[in-house]
Amino acid sequence: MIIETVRFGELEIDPETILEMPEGLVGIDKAKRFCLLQESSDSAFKWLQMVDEPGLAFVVINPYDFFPDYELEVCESDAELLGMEAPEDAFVLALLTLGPEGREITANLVAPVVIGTKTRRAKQVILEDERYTTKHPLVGDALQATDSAAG
Amino acid sequence: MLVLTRKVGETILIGEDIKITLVRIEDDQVRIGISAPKDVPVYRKELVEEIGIENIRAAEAARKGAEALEKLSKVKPIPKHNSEKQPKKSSKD
Repeated sequence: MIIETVRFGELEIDPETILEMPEGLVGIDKAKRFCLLQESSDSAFKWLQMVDEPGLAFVVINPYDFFPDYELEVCESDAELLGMEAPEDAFVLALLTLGPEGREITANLVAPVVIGTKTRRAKQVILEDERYTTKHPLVGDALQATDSAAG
Repeated sequence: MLVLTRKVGETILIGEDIKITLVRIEDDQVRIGISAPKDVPVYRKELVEEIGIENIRAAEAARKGAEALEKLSKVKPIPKHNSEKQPKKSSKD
């Protein structure tokens, strides 16, 4: 199927790869169907593009790439929604917020998007975990990588 | 809104499954214990609001920061220590 996106123009995507988010994103209830796009296969950054809204997209990372100690628990009812019987049945994305120059990048670790790989259903999970906030700076190795990549 | 007066240690029942207990009062802070079925989400309101605002900011920043992202798209993940780590399925429920 063809979807419209502001960033990538028209894209042909496999409907099988669409992620359904029945509850939407927190504060953006209409955001219910997404696809995951990647500009280059070895990039740490991906795009979570809303299927029905060309202008709505998020930059996301696998939080474990940048925060190796990150931990989250998926409660029983969410595990059921996502069709998750074992930890391997899901993967996690953290939404990024970027400063104007692409600096001051922060990751939202308190509300990651968990995706059930068997069901392709996703949910933005809220962690009542005091270690995590909506703004964890991507620092250290990650930003050095940005600088060296920018050359 | 229903307003009830409670003493420390006293509990309010909401329906059959939800219990709210006043645990401790200290200055202007109140510690509240909540016991609810696992399919009833319990969150602090300001956290949910903050996440909603951050989601909208993230979407706006992604729209505006497109050029900056050109270079980000070249960033590779840092070497992984325990990349196989996965979300745990809660065992306490």
